[in-house]
Amino acid sequence: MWFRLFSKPELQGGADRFSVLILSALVALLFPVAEAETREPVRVCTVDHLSREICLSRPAGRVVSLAPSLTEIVFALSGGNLLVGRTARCNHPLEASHVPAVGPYMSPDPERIIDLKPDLVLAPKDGTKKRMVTRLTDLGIPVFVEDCRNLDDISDLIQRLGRILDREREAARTIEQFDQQRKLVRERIQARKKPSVLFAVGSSPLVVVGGKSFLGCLIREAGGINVAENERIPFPKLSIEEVITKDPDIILVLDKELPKERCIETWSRHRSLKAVREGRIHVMNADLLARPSPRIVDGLRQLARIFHPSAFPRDE
Amino acid sequence: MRLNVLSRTMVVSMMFLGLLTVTTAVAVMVGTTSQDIIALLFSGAETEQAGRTWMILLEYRLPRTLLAVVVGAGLAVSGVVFQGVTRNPLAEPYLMGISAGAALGAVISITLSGEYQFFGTSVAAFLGGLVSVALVYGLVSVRKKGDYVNTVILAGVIVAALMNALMLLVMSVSSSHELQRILFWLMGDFSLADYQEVQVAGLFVAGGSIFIYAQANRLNLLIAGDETAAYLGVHVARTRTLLIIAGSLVTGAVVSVAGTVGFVGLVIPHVMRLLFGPDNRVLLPACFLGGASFLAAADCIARTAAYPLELPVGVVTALTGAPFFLYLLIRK
Repeated sequence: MWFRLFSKPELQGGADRFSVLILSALVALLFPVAEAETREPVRVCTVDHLSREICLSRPAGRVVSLAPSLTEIVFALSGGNLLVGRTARCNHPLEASHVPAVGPYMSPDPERIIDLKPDLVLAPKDGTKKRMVTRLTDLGIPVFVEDCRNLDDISDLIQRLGRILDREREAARTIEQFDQQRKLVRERIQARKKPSVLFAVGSSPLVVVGGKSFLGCLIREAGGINVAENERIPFPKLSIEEVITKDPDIILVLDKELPKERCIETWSRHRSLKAVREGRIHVMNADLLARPSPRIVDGLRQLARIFHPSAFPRDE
Repeated sequence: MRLNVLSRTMVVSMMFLGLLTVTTAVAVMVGTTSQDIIALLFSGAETEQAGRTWMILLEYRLPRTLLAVVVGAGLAVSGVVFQGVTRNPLAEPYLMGISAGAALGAVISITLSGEYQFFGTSVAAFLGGLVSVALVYGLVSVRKKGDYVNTVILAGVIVAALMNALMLLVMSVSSSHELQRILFWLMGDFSLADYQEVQVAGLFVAGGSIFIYAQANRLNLLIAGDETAAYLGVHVARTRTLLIIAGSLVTGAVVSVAGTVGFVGLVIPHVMRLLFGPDNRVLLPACFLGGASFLAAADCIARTAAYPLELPVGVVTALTGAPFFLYLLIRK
């Protein structure tokens, strides 16, 4: 650790031995009962997206989820009964609201997490402070960190969580359905002309989805050509001038910032845009599209239908 | 009856030490999960519930409160130093651009490495703060002529502006998740404190404060004016440099673990001056203990008042401290 740089080496050994002593005394003080319990030795191990090995002495029974997507996955694996904590933003499925909240997304309350006595915490890499991960790990609470960049990562994540939650059959079934849905979309849009797409996530300034983001990956998979595909950062800013130059066939707007009517209204001022004239502006639901959960295939189908209306003739 | 300096220092210190003890005890007892702590302390039961409560008290609330204590003490003491050395009532620990430099370091760490590579945010912030101080100090020593105080203030403002611009540049390529994390950092955050941070920051704050206290009388003379101080045998330039370095190291360490907590470093010295007079031999201990108690109390309010939300601690310090300060200002 960095502060060791400042302490003299001969002091360091002594200090370490001392803290180990204190720590073991503390541990002995804190967990005498837990030691006495008899357990079946069914160890489960998995690796999280930071390549850290997570081992539990038995499949997780008390899980705290720190992201809406992770809550959705746990429920999709019929593990809703294992969930003892969630963030205030976890609103899907409806049953999730019965699980106690541990605070807002991105800044949950550590005290409430500890109080729930979880044997596993699921945390999104982007939406969790690193100190939260190290702090909980230090306190003996294993933290599985998720970092989904594309749809394949989601299947992979479901498999890993299935293992550690002892829901491997459910995981296999979920992945099978997931892959099936993806394949269906892929077959429908095969060999069709790809429209150019602009996906706005923020209105002032105009921030769009770049090729390096999860949503950018979703656009590719749904058979669209992202006008910001080659931007170097995941969510680049674009001027309206660039938008007019690129003149996308379709404009998508995320409903995170503005109400639906305002989104459309803001864009309809730019009559020179093809998408505006042809009425191809669509407001997308952030809860559905921005969460890497199994539900993302619904979002994928929604996008594919917008990109290729003729491939999805009836309202299915 | 007028007491001499030593007795006044003792009385004030004892008073604030009592206040600090009470504040810390209350802060550890109060939290967002209801625990029947009193019953637990006296039952001596070794149940699972007891173990968990101890864990929350010792591993969450105590390190967090201690970090607030350390940060409050450090900021208040370096506030006294910077106000004294520059003879400017608006001076604060962040005068030398430390907060802007530290913020730049933190933002770079969060945006470019997602906090997960290199040393982490604290080290990056500390280094950023040091770079700022070095720049300001370099500018001041290059410019031999002119009024020292004005040069420090101007150089500090300019370096801070430069660092802010660089920070905004980095932030303009950050994603919304990163921006949110940066914002949390900038507002000051004690929620994930551990004993290691308390140790590191505590070492800097304790060492720096002892050194500064040893210079208290020289600081008194500096405030009286450079010439007066020189006539009375003070090495003006050397004392000033040493005091500024000590204040900067304290501030840098504190900012790197807690983010830029505002208000404490500016207002606690003024409040204590209004209450106990301008003599630094009394003022420094009063600020050390008073700043510590104030921030510990503010942090306790920040995490419990708006449950289930946690307020930024800087908001609490300003909201509670500003009216009190204005009241003192009017009354005196």
